[in-house]
Amino acid sequence: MTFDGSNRAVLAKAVTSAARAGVEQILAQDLSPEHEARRIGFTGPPGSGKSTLIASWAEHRLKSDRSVAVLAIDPSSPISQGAILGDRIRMGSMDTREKFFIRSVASTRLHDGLCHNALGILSVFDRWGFDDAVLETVGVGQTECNIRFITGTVVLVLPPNSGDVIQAMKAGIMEIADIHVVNKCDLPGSRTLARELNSVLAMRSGASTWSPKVIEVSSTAGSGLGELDAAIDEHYLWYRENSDRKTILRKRIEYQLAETVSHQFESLLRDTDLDRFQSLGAAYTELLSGLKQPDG
Amino acid sequence: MPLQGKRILVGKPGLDGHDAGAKIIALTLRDAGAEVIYTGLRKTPDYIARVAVDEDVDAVGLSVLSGSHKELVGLTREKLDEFGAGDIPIFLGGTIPKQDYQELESRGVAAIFTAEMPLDQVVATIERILR
Ligand SMILES: Nc1nc2c(ncn2[C@@H]2O[C@H](COP(=O)(O)OP(=O)(O)OP(=O)(O)O)[C@@H](O)[C@H]2O)c(=O)[nH]1
Ligand SMILES: [Mg+2]
Repeated sequence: MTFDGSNRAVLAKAVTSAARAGVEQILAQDLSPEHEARRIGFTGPPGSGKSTLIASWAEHRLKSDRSVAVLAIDPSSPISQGAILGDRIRMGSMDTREKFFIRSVASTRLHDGLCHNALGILSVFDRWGFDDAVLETVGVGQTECNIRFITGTVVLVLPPNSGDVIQAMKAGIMEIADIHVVNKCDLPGSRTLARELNSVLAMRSGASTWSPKVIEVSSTAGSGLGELDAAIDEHYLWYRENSDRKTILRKRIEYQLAETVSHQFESLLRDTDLDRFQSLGAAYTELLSGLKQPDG
Repeated sequence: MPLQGKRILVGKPGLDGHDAGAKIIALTLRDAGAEVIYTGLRKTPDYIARVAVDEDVDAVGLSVLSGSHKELVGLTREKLDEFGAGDIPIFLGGTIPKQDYQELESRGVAAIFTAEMPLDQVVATIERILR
């Protein structure tokens, strides 16, 4: 199937199926499809402007006649498990364009900024022939780095005046980002932040030949978007030349297996009456043996 | 949670600019376990129906205070059917006169909520219809 704007309902059902996939469906997914959309992850602290930025950037993409699919993840309430999926409202100027598709999902039980079977949802976008597949994480703090394993280009979106934040993120999410956006640069503080970021990144040592970029952007003022777009393309070319396909797949498989096991384990845990066990050890053994049967 | 796993779009079609009611409903549904997509103010029926399809929601709730509920409900229903989402029920809230209920129901409104209705009754009604 190729997305052409008229078959949205079919695509929508396919995404829902992936978002609700059980173990067997997850294990049957093709993690290395023939066509793969460019996978771009946008992450960063709550309210840093990720959704607004994705919309403005996607507008650029559509102008170059690319098709764009967005998986936008919002946090679930730890109490009700319900969620207000608010990313879409920030993309409201875009979301009925012909070659643009958004699906909002809740993070449910996950604490890594992602959602259940995110890889499976991205591969639906692949199968439907999208050029770009964008993932917006939940607003994150320091440690939610799994986005690295499932997307090719990671864009970290920071608000101005977040000097303290970079101190906290220096070890953690800043280490895995390819492009650092100093967002809302129409507001004061962005210059200073860009300078601080550059000096932190200059001290970064690592094997990678990619030198992470710092770009000042304002969706409101429409500035820096072309530069961001160019940086994303530049990183993609670098990624394609310099990354080892086998390692990437290996990471995806690891992520998928770990996610699947913990998903199954948690649902077992929910359905198990722990009071009937004499010891933690007995509970552990029984839960593990329950894991051997995929629940379908 | 009664609405666990349900996806519900809360839409504000038409021109009135008051969404306090829509927001209360959105939060109530979330607290009942639903995943809620709120469209924001002044959306067209066409827009609301497209979003409902893309998001593959289980229900669409419309909040209308402007008096043009009959027209807006009818148009939203038509668009949903046109986009292949004839099975998605529509709920309606706002200032809806009693004498319009029957006609609205015949146009495909699954339930009508008044501002006075206790919120747990709203949740229970939606739960029953989506079961
Ligand atoms: N001044 C200014 N404000 C902006 C800009 N971009 C976004 N905002 C505002 O920042 C707020 C948050 O924007 P969002 O796009 O929802 O941020 P987000 O990172 O997606 O938020 P979460 O998904 O909730 O973490 C909104 O009030 C936007 O209007 C910008 O370039 N300049
Ligand atoms: Mg957002």
